[in-house]
Amino acid sequence: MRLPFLSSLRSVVLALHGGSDPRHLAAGFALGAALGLVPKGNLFALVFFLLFFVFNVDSGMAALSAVVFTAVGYLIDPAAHAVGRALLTAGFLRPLWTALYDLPVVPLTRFNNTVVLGNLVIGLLLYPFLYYAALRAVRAYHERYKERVERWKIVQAFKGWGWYQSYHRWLGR
Amino acid sequence: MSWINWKNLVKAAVVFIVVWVLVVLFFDPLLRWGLVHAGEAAAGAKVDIGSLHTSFRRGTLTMSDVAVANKHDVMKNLFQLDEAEVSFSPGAALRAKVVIPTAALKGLQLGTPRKTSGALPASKPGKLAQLVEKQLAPAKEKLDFDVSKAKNAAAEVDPKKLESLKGLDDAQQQLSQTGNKLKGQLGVDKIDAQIKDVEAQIKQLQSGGNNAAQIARKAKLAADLQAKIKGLLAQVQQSRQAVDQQLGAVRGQLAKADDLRHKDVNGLLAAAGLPTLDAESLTRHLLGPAAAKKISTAVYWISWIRQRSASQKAKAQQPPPARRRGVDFEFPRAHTYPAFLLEKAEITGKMAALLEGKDMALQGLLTGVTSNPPLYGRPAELTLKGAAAGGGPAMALQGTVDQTKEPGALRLKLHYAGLPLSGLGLGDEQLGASLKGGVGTLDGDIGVVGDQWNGTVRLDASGVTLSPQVKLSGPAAGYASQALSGIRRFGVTIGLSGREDDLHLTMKSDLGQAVASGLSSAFKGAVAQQRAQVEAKVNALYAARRQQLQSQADALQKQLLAPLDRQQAQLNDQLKRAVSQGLGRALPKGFKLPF
Repeated sequence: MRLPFLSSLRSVVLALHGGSDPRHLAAGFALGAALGLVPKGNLFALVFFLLFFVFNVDSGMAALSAVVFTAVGYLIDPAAHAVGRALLTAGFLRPLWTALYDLPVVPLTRFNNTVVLGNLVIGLLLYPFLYYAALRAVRAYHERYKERVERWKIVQAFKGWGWYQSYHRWLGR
Repeated sequence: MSWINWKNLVKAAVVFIVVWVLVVLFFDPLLRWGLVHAGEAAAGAKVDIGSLHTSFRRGTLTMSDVAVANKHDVMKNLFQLDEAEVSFSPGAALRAKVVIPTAALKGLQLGTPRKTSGALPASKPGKLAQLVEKQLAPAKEKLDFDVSKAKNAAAEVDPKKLESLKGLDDAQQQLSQTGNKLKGQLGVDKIDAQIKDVEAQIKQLQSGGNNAAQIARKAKLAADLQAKIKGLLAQVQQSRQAVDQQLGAVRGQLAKADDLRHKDVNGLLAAAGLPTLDAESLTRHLLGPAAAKKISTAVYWISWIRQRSASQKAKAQQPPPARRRGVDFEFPRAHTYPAFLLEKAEITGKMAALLEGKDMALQGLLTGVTSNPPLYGRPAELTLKGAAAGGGPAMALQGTVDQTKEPGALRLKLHYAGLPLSGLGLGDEQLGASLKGGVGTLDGDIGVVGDQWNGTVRLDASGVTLSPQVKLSGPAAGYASQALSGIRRFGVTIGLSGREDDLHLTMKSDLGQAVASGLSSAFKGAVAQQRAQVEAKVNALYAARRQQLQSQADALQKQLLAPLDRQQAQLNDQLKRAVSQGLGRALPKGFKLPF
């Protein structure tokens, strides 16, 4: 049985060692974080999910990040509720919320829910920081640790598998 | 390398279409699952839906065999429905709104027994249920006594240990804090200064010429003045409400101290090894568990309705919700639908084989249930009537939730005649009885205005025969059995008052009094004598101080309300003059004001 979490982890290891663009890895990490933070069951979650497909981001890294940040989202919910409530009750934003609320489909995003809006805003604010932090981390990893880690037996084993060769060929195309 | 993955875009479209098809195919099971989970979250107990079918083309939703378990009596359903036919607006659904113009709820039955428990695995009694349980369900009380070994209870009275005196300390502290807080908060001087200012402006209205420009200036000044006076009147009214509310809380604290005095006396008697023979305790012993279940159910749903229909302002002030859930705010334009609206639901059903095999047919109407009462502008109303053919049991339930303006109000009235009581169990194996035959008349009236609850529920039972189950030693057993056997009718009244987080409940019944008298004969007045001595000693420490605090609270209220009454009278007079006196003189005949 292939567990999604382990599958994502393996995919990340391979991406780190298989020549993926660090920017795509970093973008996957930041986008996955935004998806993880927002409660599921609304259109925002679907939009983020579609962004994974549309943009050239590393899907393994995005999935792993989404799993981790779902737990983070649960922990920061009280703060997200406070942020969402402050924004939804702010007088100067009322015309904007009213206009959005009156449109078809848009209310299905549940932007008018304190936790959804709070987490979305936190996710968007964190996006650039997470992107650049992940980019630096990936580059630092490539410079300092990649060669050493590549000598690990488990990584060798990953790279020896047939599907890794196919993946590498697909990257080279 | 490009940032856009065009190949994946096609894949995404395919995945999206597949997901969409799956959702369409499995919409009904998904909705059923969602409704069951939402219903369980609301009811705190199991919800079953036999089948569900949705038609977006016709805008209808049909559910059958719906059963909602009672959280506080898990082997019974709160209600069940044979069928629910709901019409909805598909256009509103696109805006994440649920708008139900009409619904038909058929085959309603109340309180039906369940084959399996309706308890949810992680369900715990809520704060309100705990409050009710604590105040109505019986305290762990020893009913078997040897009076000859009892100590002198009056000698044990120690002022430092009396909870009632601590209750008075709390009331005193609350009173002094309330006085200081209100004096600073009311801002009487500021309003007086503004009243003076208004007076000066009214004088300006009366002076000056009558040419067109001056008339226009006066008209504007009069309109501004009226708005200002109305604003000031609203401030005064708010101040009055604050005074009433704060001093109401102090009086509530005094009522609590009264209860504690009662408990102190009972505690001292029990500590001395004596039965309390207290009518209220015995009432709780006999009727408490059954009453606690019913009242817990009622207050749970009243609280739930109040929270769901609270205004946007009240929602913003509510404590943080459970994680991942959040609070939904609505931003509707005028004359649009709220996020949820049930305009009208017709209810039909029956209560089967209630009394002497007679069914009671139920008929009712539920209107104006909405998530945004101020926008909808009409209160939610429920009427449910039941009557058995050819006479017999009859019921009338009327509920109104008016959250269209602040403070929100809720009123629930129930009259039920011919309630079958046979089989009802009272008390426990030590001192209890089961009812054979008899009918009851139930009258309930519970109201909530703002945060303040008030209400009574009364049951009058007649034609009852009690089959006693008494396991007490000595003569007490015989006297208690005799007292219970002799009862043919009894009444019980439950009172509710106070704020939701500090709900105060009382229960009084002649049933407890009858048993107390019976048991008292068993102890040949020894307990009554000790009780009188203890009460006298506790009262000597309590009564004068209690009276003093009551007088202080009354005086403070009078002192605080006096300037507000004066200001209200002044402002009403100024408002009249602003409208009539000043302008009446200024305006030529036939000239109409623009406001």
